[in-house]
Amino acid sequence: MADVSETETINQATTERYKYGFVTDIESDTAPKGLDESTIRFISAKKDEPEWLLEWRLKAFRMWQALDEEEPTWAKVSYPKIDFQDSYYYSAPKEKPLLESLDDVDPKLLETYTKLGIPLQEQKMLAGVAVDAVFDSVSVATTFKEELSKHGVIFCPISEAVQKHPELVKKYLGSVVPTADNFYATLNSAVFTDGSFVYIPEGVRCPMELSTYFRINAAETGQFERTLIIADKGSYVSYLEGCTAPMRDEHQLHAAVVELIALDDAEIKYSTVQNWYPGDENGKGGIYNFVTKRGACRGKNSKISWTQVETGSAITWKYPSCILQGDNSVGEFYSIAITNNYQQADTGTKMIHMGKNTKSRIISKGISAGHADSTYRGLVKVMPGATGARNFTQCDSLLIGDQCGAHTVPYIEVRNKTAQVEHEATTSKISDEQLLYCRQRGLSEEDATTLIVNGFCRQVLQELPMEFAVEAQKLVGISLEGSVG
Amino acid sequence: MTKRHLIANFPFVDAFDAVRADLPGAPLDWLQAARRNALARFQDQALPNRRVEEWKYTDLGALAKTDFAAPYGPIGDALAARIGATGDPDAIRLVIANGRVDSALSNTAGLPTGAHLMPMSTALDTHSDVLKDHITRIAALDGNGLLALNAAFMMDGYVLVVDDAAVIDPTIEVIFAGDGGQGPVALHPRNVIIMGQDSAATIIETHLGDGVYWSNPLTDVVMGEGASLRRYKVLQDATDAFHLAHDQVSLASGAHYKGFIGAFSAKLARHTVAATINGADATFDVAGTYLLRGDQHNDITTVVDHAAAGSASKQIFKGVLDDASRGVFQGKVTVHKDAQKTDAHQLNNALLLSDKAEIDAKPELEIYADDVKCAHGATAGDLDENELFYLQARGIDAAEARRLLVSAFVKAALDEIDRDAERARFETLVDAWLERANG
Repeated sequence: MADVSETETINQATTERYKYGFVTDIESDTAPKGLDESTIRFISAKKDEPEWLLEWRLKAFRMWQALDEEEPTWAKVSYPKIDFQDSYYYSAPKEKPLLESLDDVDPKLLETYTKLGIPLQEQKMLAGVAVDAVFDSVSVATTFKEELSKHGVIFCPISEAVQKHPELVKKYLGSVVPTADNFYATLNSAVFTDGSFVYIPEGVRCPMELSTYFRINAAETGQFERTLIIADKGSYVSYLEGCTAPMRDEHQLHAAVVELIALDDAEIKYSTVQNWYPGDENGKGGIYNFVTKRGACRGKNSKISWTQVETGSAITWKYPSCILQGDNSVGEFYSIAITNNYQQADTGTKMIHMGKNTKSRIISKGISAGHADSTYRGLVKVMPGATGARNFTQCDSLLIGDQCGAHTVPYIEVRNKTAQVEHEATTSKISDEQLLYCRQRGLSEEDATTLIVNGFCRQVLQELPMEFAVEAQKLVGISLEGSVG
Repeated sequence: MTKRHLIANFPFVDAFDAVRADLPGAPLDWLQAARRNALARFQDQALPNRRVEEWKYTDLGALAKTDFAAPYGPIGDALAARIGATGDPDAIRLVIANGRVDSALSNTAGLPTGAHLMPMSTALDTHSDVLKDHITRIAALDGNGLLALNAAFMMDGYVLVVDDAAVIDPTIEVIFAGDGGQGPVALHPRNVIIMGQDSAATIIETHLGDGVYWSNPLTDVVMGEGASLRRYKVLQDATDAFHLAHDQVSLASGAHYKGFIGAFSAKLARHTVAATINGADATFDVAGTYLLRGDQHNDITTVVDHAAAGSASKQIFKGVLDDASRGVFQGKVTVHKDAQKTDAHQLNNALLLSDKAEIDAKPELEIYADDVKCAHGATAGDLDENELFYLQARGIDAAEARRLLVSAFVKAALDEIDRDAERARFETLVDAWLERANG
């Protein structure tokens, strides 16, 4: 298929933005290369952080040093050893050069946007075109902000929350993902630059999907993102991270930490669409996405639901998990991981049942094409006190082509006899009958594959917020381009 | 030594030079060299600790702390009497007691032509040329300290060779006994089964004993084209015994292996069943049941490699866990790149009968071929309340209702045994276990 390098072209188009000039001198805002205590102090000082946070960072840094660069090796991914001293850990957000109109944007990129069904105005935003008066992102964002504050919802960069709401940050930061949790989380704790902070007050149903706001305000988040979401008693929030549009980032390593806390009767729905640069069709380049995401259902009757569509990154290493502490709490994990070319994804979830009558549901769909490897790795653990715990896990893998791999590594640990834990997994390919049926009806092989894969993913796609579900469906097709024929 | 190793100072290891002259094949220079190499490897590898992924759920700490010595000679009379009462007394049988063949208790007279059954010591005296390849190959297995120990201290096990096209109908009975009456002993039986083309045989192995002993058997099975082997294993080891078995099976095209493991005993047991399927139309089926109580720990670890196209594998395990017992099931199926049309199924169901019991399951699939049918399932939980109620509503008391349901649950695994006499033997053992549960 001739169009294989489309993603590459897109990414080229997005990376080549500097050829249009307009680069401001930001040297003074960048920490020197390398990582030592002075880097941490530099970051902390830049952000004007209180003493306790600097101490917290330094403690994490010392723990990380003690790990002696021993990165976890248990995941089924391979990559050259990362030199942690050979990167920058702080640079102030860069100003993006603006283009005159959409005519200046690479047509291939626009084609992808059109395939995804992204509205014209948003296309301009994403491609870095100066936005006209009709669509003033600042004013729209302000309107949203007013609406949110009317309900008492706090939604701001975490660096701002440190200044304005230190009591909340201090209370919850690191309470779900402890500093010493794992190599990358420890590193993140030491050097995180920014991220989102969300607090939904007691009894409030967040008036909008925080996605809407986020998409318009998509700021450069940096490579060590830190997100903290707290849903107080009886509240509800739906948060969408990421974007279906292809994104290029100059950092190769991304090590984010996301912490969710749901108190009594609260619900958090966290959706991710990840479409970072996956590297070219020969496996060169691409983002390493090593993320720690965990939610704590602290309160009774609380619920945390993770939905993810992972199509980008050269390597994905992430396990959005739920700690079900509160009685009757519910954890859900819906995942689609698509790997093509030389991508590697090792992803899954952990459901730790601690409270009585806790329930969890895991639906994972892995699709491998090209030379890619996709692994589901998950843990369902029922602690002795989790009377009446219930889990259902379904992991399906689909292989497209005979050069790729699909792996399933579930861990099931049950210590309570009243628990009911069920796990099932299948691996298969698209059947010839299904393909023939579609092709008889005039679909091309590629369209037929997309249709069948979308059907395979349906259970997960329907969990996404409406507008993203539509785009994600199209993204599935785009991600698989070049994998058949 | 790294932090992935468990350091153990076993007296029998220190006594290597003193005991090696008494071990099978002592006059063979190549074997002496192989033993010495293996000992060096053990000293390098030690025992795996729980940081090694494959040993995450099974802790050898208690084993490492026990002072195991080399076996003290013949077994006690009571144990000998129990061996006499095991299985069919008229069957073809070979008894391996404390790592040595017991000729008085063995009887291989009725062996049909085409089958050759002998202890390892005899086989090394008469057929060392045939065995050399097998022993060298096993020694090269990149495993852990347990395999190295077996290679260094290899004792009597059974060697069964079945000629091409020979179909051996009578069941061959092999009994392994360990006696820790004079102090903890370590036994390292080595078994070799060579099935010729289109041959067939059935083996039932029983493991029993007294006191504290550690049985570390390693079984090497090589199946020629179209060969068929049924291999049943009954675990009735002593309550304080350790049993760490490793089976290495290789199958040529059209070969059929049907294994069954019935685990009813031992303080700590682990059965590693590793199979490589090298040919089309070969099938590898292994089933089993583990019925545990007290603080027993039983680990079943299977590693099935589909290395050729058009083969199938099936695994069905049923576990029943009472008191503070712990069951572990780790099943790994790998389908290699060229192994198209593979059909692999794996199932582990565990019943937890007590609040202190624990099951850890890790059914793993690693697949590199697209045209395959692979599935696995795992469940854990208590008996269904509705089913219990149904039986009680019909006048069956609660205890009897539970017994019936557990028995039915286990039967699904026993049904995999396609020889009536052997299935009945396992059924009797299951019933006996359930009787104790009620008593």
